[in-house]
Amino acid sequence: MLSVNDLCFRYGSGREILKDITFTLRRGEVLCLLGPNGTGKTTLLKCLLGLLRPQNGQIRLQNEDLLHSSTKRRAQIISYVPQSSMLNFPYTVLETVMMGRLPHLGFGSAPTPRDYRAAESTLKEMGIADLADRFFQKLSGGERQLVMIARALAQEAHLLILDEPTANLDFFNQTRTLKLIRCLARQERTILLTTHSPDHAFLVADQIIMIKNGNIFSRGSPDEVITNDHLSDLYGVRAVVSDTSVISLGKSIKVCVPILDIDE
Amino acid sequence: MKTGHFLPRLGLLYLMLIILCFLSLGIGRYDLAPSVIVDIFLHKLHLTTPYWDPTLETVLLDVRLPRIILAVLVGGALSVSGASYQTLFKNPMVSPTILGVSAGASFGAALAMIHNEVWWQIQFFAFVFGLSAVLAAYLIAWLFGRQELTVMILAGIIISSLFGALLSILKLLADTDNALPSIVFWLMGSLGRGSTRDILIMLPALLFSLSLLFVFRYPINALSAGEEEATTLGVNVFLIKAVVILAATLMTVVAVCICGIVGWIGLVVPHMARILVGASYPKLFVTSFGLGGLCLLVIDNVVRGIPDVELPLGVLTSLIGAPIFVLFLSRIRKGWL
Repeated sequence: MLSVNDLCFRYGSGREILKDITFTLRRGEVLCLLGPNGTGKTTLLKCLLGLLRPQNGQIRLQNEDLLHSSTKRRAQIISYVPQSSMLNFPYTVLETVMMGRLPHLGFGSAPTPRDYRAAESTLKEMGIADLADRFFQKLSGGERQLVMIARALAQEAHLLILDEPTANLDFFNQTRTLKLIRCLARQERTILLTTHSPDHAFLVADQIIMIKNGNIFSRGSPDEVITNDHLSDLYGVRAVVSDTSVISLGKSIKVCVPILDIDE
Repeated sequence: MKTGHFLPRLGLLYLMLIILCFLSLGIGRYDLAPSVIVDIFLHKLHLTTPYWDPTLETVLLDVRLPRIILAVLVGGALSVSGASYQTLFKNPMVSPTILGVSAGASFGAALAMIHNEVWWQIQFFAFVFGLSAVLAAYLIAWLFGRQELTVMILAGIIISSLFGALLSILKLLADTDNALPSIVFWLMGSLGRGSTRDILIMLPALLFSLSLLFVFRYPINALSAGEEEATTLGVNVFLIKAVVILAATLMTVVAVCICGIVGWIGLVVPHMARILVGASYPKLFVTSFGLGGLCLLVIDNVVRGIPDVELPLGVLTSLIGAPIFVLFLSRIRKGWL
């Protein structure tokens, strides 16, 4: 569904931020990008979203050439949940989610009842219909995150991109967001997200890409990619990946714990 | 803002505006009873025979009516410009003059007054220099800041202060008997010289700008989420910025040409409109126009209603606007604005 080939990016004549990035993502799959800060994850997302123009390479989504499609067309097929969002004016939740319908509006025309229904049913599906008339700015961080995801879903795009969706959230809201991502994938939505937590990657990802200095350092299933060796190469941190059996579930979950290396 | 509340509120606002326009016709030095006003209008439709002093007809049709219409148009134009800039720049503290339009226009007007030009030439100079100032700010932002909005605001501040300095030089050079008083008076704003001709100048510019903003009202709305998010929502940010700046500048510069510098309306009215109908730009834009017209008309009525002296319009808008804005500051603390 999404295929990225030989993507290269640099700012002006500076050093290359992204080098020969190549990967594919199938429908209904969750791809998780892992990598240290400043390693090019966000740059890669911006290239996919059309916010930055790569010097080289191809991005195709369902056989459409994304590098040569219009801003509006791109918004119809890719939606985006930013890490944090700020609205300086008193927009209600419904008005915020309605912004997601913008790529589907005709030139100069207002949203139709169908657009309102799409926004309202998204809120209902996510269980936040009661927030519709609240002011976005007054919501808690977790509620805002849900509203931003609702806006992206109202866009009815093929691919959903989330930039560190669990950052800045408490344990409950992290779990709720991860659960939501899993549920969306089960509904055949294709999802690409970045995260700093290997544990979260284990919980939601079908495929993992580790990025180091703008290169793909490792790519594959979570079991193959998140290993002690890879983590120490990637972050320079000694970490232990181990199986934890959850008896009530009758299966085991992989977790990752860093070793602090302090002499006791 | 619940969707169902919007249309009744908007209807009520415009109804109040129309009623106030009619009542305003009676305010001024000459007493004009409402029945006489109605009869004069009916006479224009050949439905009554005149029984009144012909001066009253002139006062009503050539002085008061154009001035009232201009107050509504100018107030509406400034408020819509302010609402558009605030949404575009994601900044509640922005007014229509942020890109230097009134500083440029003031310099232009003063330049013409120093050379004892007639009124239309003063207006023309104000228009040209107002537009040039914004163009200069836009080019600076273009050349040095990749068109970033913060850089654009900074460029506007630079241009404003530059034209402010040039204006001071002109004041220093101006003849203290004629030119200087007229410059000072112009800078305080007045609708006193408004005429039917001004309405005819203002209307096309206003209609052009308002239709542009109307067509792009939903993309403009998305810009309040920031440029990058707006792009991922399918907005051509470069185009929308240009459209908003063009439309807002054109409306503001025409308003300034007609009545000089009238501050605060463009800053305060959009906030009042948000309290009425919420922040969504498509609603905000049409509400700001009516509310801005209403506010400036009320203030100009005070100007006309005080006997013997004519207080400058810009002075009154500041006197009234400043305390209202302090009220809003308390709302900012509540996280509302």
